[in-house]
Amino acid sequence: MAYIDYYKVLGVERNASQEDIRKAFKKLARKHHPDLNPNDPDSKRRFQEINEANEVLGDPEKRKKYDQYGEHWQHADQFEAQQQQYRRQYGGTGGSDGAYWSAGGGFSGDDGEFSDFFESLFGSRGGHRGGRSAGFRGQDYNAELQLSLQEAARTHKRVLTVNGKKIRITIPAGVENGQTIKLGGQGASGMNGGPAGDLYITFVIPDGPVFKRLGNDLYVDVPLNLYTAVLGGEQLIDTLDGKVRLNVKPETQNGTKVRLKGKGFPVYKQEGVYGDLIVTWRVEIPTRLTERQKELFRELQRIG
Amino acid sequence: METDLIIVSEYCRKSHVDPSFIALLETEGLIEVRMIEGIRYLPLAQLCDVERYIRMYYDLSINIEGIDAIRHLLRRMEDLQNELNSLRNRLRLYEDSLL
Repeated sequence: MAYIDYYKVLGVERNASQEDIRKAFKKLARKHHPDLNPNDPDSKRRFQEINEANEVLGDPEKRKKYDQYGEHWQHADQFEAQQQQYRRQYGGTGGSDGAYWSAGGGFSGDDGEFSDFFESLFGSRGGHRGGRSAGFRGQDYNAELQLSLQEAARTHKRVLTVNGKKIRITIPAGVENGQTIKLGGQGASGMNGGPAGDLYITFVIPDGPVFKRLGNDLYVDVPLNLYTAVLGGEQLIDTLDGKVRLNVKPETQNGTKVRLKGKGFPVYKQEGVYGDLIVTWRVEIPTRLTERQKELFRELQRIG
Repeated sequence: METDLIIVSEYCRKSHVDPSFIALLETEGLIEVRMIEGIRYLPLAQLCDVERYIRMYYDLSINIEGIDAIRHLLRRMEDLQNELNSLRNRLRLYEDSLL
């Protein structure tokens, strides 16, 4: 557990007035408040640090204790007992040893709670001051959920375990890769009557081996043999909901694209609406030709 | 469609919020309050926004005009984030096709 220099956290001098501390806190809180920086874990961590520093320095009693024990904070209780004994024996008040803090250390990063350092010095809740703002909103949680393209194409339910809590969610068909949804109140519980944080889920949906997705459209490359490409015919192709037979026009060129309306990806939160499937024909040149086949190609070359 | 409603006066009492603040949010068009048989109600769907505005106002000392501006900027930020995401996916598709 490292020392934390709360003055450094708030960017104020050790002799700063309570008004200076209040102003510094407000300024930093406006910059790093989670409401103003949604889905930014760094800001949340920083806000937690600022909050804790203000909890100590903004309260003259806590500030006094913090200033008094300095780097000997681990022995605060012991020190206090000795001071009391000294006062009983000799009267007067025991002074501070004048020790200063070393550079600020890291926070525990526990969800929405104070650092171990704070709790060692002031107890788990630190005795919050009264007033509306004494209740702190719980920390937001961020989670990532990986889905296959097929899973993302249908509305389905999932049970997620986030920080030991089971949460049942319905994932609507058509969610996008990288899209984040917010589940209000499913984050960490608030402190001192504050509201719970939110849960942000970001979907990771990689393209599959067959289909590539762009918005609501799907793209697929389909190999086409030379003879069907030249003479036309039919070709079976994969779609998300099974195979379909597609007519191939005679003299189809390599790279030709065909758009199949409504055979693409479901549109997010629009039931029954789908994007398109774009098929790109990849004409394959035959290999390992027999002598007879080569002769026929030469014949074609002569007359072509 | 049925909507869950919260009695404004009750909410203000429990969360130590001055009712005039809710009225101010309503006047400035940040929220919509429903009046049913003389009682003012807050739709549950707006609760999350109201709580955010309360935190901005009371904890961060941001005035109503500031909250409104932040609201617009956050929406704009969300739109841009979605657009960035969509462009990233598009770029990935083209990059993959080049490989």
